[in-house]
Amino acid sequence: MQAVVVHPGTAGEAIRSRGATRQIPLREAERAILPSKTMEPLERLAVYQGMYPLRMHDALAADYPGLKSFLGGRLFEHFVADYVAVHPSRSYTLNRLGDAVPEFLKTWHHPKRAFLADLARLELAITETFDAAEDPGPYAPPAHVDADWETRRFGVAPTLRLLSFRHAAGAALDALKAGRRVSARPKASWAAVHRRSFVVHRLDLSRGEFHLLSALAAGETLGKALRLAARKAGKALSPASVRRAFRVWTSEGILR
Amino acid sequence: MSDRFGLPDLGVGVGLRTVHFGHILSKKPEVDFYEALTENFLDTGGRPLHVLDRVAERTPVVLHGVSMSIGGTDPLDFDYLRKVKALADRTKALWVSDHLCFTGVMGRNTHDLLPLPYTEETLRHVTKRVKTVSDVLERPLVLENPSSYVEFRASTIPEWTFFDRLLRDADCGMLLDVNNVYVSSFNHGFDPLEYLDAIPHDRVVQYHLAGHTDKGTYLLDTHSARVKDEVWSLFRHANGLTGPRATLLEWDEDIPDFETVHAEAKKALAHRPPLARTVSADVSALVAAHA
Repeated sequence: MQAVVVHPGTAGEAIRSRGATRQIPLREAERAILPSKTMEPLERLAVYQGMYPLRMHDALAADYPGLKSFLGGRLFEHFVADYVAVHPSRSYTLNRLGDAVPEFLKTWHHPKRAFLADLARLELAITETFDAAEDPGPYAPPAHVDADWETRRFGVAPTLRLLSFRHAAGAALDALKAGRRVSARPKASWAAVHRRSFVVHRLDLSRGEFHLLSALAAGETLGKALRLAARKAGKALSPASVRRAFRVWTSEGILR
Repeated sequence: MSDRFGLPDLGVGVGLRTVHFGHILSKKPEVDFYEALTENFLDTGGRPLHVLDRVAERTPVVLHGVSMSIGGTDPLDFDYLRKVKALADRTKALWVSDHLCFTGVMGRNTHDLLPLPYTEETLRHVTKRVKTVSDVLERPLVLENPSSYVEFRASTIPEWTFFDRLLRDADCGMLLDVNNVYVSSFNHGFDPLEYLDAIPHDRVVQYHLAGHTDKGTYLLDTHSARVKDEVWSLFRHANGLTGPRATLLEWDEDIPDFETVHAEAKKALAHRPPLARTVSADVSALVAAHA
């Protein structure tokens, strides 16, 4: 029955499929279900078969609203069918159904698949951050950075995720939510995603900010983090931009 | 008549749904009890669990799952069961329910409630699994009759007789979904009153009510509308047989505002007595009494 339920074709095609006939010969399968007064056996099976893609669609649409918006309803349905054929649910929860979407999109037959994969990676990070264990705090900003600033280390919010993209995934997601046109052209971007008081926040970062925050999150001292960020970004962050970034990161509860 | 387990009538409750979280936290509506969908609160440390914790502090909660696959042939998922027990302990859930069905085979989960062939072999298989699950959960497992759209030629036992024997053999409770009885009776052509009369009434722990959709050649259990008059009529009949039991309205598609859902649930009071307020006045005392 499962082989028929998950088959993307008609119930007739499904019951004749290799997946189904491997489990039960066609002749037996056709007799296994009783007709009702109003429906033939295959029509009855088709009720379950029709509900399966809807359930998969709803689960993935909930986690990937931006992806659905970009693809449009019809193409998103095709995407769902292609995806669940390769990555069917093996969990008691549908919350994990979409875990492999970013990787899957990298090889999906769509001309903008690299952009789609970036967009999906951002949406997956948001979903995972939503479900992460609650951050008990404290959210208090770190004490004033004094003369020993160079050797100072900082804690970071446990829900913090730092992401780098080849496309402007954050701007695209904002545009899709607002119903605006989206550019899928390559344009490097960086973002921090974290949760505070059960609300997920996204903070767009510059290249230098991304590398600075990444180094701090890895436990480096501020001095070493600044040097690493300068090397990886190709130029040092100005003192004013570092001050501005720290003000935001501490007020957001990212740094502590 | 009290139920076999001495579990309390929790009154008239509603399903705890994400779209109502804000209303429930801010308005704190007077609801007799909430039913939480088990899987939505496993593996999350986010807002859903926070809301469930706040709700469970002041209102009785029961858990209702969709992935136990009690009739499946894959081994029971003990990791899942341990998480369900932990959640039940955390929320002080008086009972845990799921469906008489299977959800998939060979490691896959279709996330649908697939029907079982009702045979002696199935009965033995499910009975054994129910006993194991009850041991792990350390509280009664309550099984719901699913709505179904196919019948197997291999079935040799009517669903109501299967339930009667299963509930007694495995010593578990029943979540009687009256809408599902009505939907399946239409789809399979049996008499719903015969079903209600035949099940062991002292094993019924909870009722479900919901709306369904007429698809022309069959009825579909959509949880997307108000309860139909025919279902209210069956609910009244069943109540006469079991006495008042915890009664819950399910509304899962096109969900209206909380007050509309709650008002629909409270229509059950026209068919069953209201909850004696002392029963759920103190959640901790209630749980301790049935621990």
